[in-house]
Amino acid sequence: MFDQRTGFDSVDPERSAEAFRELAAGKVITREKFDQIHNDLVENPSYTTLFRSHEHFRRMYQHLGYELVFNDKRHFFFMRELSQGDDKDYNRNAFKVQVALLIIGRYFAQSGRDLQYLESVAVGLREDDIQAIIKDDEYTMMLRSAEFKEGFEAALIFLRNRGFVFETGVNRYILSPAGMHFLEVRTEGYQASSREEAEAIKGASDSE
Amino acid sequence: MSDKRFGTIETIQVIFQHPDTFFDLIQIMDERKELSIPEHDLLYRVEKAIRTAAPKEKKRIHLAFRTENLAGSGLMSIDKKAGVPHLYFDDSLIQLIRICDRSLRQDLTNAKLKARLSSLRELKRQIIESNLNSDNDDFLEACQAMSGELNSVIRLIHGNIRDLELDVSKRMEDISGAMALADEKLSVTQHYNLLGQITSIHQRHILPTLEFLNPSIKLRDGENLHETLEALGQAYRSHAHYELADQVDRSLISLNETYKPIQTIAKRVQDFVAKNQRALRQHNAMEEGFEELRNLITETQTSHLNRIQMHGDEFVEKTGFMSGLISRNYPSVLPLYDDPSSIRLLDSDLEARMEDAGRVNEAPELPTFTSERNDNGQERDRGKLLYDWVKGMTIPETNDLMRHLHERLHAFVGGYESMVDLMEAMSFVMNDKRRPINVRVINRFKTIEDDGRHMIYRLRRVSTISKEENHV
Repeated sequence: MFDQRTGFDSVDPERSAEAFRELAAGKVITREKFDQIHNDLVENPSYTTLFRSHEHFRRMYQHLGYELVFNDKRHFFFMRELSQGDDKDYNRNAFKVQVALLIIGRYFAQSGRDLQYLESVAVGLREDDIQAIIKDDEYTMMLRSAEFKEGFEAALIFLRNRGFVFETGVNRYILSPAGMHFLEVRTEGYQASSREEAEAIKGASDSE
Repeated sequence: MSDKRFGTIETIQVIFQHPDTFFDLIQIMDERKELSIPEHDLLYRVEKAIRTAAPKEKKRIHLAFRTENLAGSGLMSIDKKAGVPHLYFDDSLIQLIRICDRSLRQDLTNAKLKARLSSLRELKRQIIESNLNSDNDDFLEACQAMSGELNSVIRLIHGNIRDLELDVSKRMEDISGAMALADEKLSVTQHYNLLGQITSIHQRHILPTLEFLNPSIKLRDGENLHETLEALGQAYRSHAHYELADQVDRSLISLNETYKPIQTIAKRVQDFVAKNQRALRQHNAMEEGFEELRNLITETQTSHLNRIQMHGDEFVEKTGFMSGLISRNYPSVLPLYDDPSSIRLLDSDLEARMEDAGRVNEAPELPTFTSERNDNGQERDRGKLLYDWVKGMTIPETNDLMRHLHERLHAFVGGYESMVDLMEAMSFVMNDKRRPINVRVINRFKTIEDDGRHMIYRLRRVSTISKEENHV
């Protein structure tokens, strides 16, 4: 008799289906999610499922034409299409996410606050912040040009449905670790590029 | 050779052809806070200018900048201070050169603004004391001096706001650049030193200017600018000098307009200083990203007029964040699958439509709406005709009952109007308890377009009840 155990045997099909549904809807699966009743972050079962059988899921999705991406810095999963080809829509959702997050980050930094407060439950984005972004014509124009016809409110819902922000109360939001990760990547990228630039200038003047 | 001299115009020409000499001199005077310059400083600068000039030009420079020549052209006077000759240049020449170089402009400082205010007050006092009689020479002179002074105040402030704005932005950029580049955390002293320049601008220039322009500020030593000018305007008006009063009002408006931009600069500086190094780095990174977005949006506005959406591929790839994130629903819904159940669905759907086709001769022709309005009996006929037809229809298993019905009625029923007849047909099907089907209403909305009109409806899913179930 064959007694061949596969990755499928160790995974609860219901949990697996749930995780797949979320991933296929373009969500990020963060290690924790916000629970409004406890007003705190709680464990995300989908993350646990994916994390425990990471290799199994990675290979399974690969067979379906998707790549399961894991971020070990901020602990989240998401699924990307494997073949880029000449698919015009390949980065469509990524762009929407990036534009919306960048506008939040830009607004927050402009108001003189440290970006880390964006993920703090005690601070985050509040009603007046949201109103200020909505009232800004330039932000609205940009969001419209990034397929958010309804402006910032639509962008917030989009981000919330995909796990980039958590809703912590009425008109209050915080950035999820995945959302924060984008702002961190941009900040690090800026630092690296400006340092390179400075070195290039220095190098040029040295060689003169 | 030694008695050769240039005229005033030619001397000034040479000075402006070699402006660096005077730029340097003014800078030295400003640094020392003196109105004169020792002769040897001039000689040293001239020597420098001659060294770099073309041979022919050397002679001209030498001649023009000679002390005798400068004094002879009326551009300066000489005074001996502690045995050293000091040169006092003509004020208007100095002013003209200052205009040419932004860095030499006299900043708005507390002391200077105070001096301006007190001279305005003094002129106002003179004007009022002269009883505002147009025959009085004192009055005319004071009026002239007043308009001159007012214009120069406006010029000074307008010119400086622009400079201040540029200067502050530039400094902020430099400081944030320096902070962002620092590898480790900046020490408190380093941080303080970097911010020192900008806070001193804030303290020495921005705040005094704001104070000078603020209409509601109370000054210890007398009226503020606003009060002075307002009182002057009233005095003019009460003595029927309307033109002069209007001029004062215009100046007042012009000065008030500058209040806001200065306030904005002040706010920017305050916000800026409040940030720490980390926040600054973040601030710059966000600005950089935002600038990229601005470029993308400009593209949609200028070079591609038919494009509304930004093209973000490059932007996304810069960080690669979420690149390729799924944007379509999975699994994509295909109408046909190569499996028994979908073939069975297709089969039953076709069969039902074939049945319709089989009794095409019985297909009703519904009366038009106009005839219906004329005769009440016909309305019932219309419903009855439709009911008879729908009663004979077999409803197969389907995911979207509304569309299914619409398609079939549209194909066979003459005079079919989707908005009315579809609703009616739907209610016949839903209320017909004898049909062996289950209809589930699902909380998802779909639209049907017919004849340019759109109808939004809730999805209804049909499943057939198997024979066994039916018997039970």
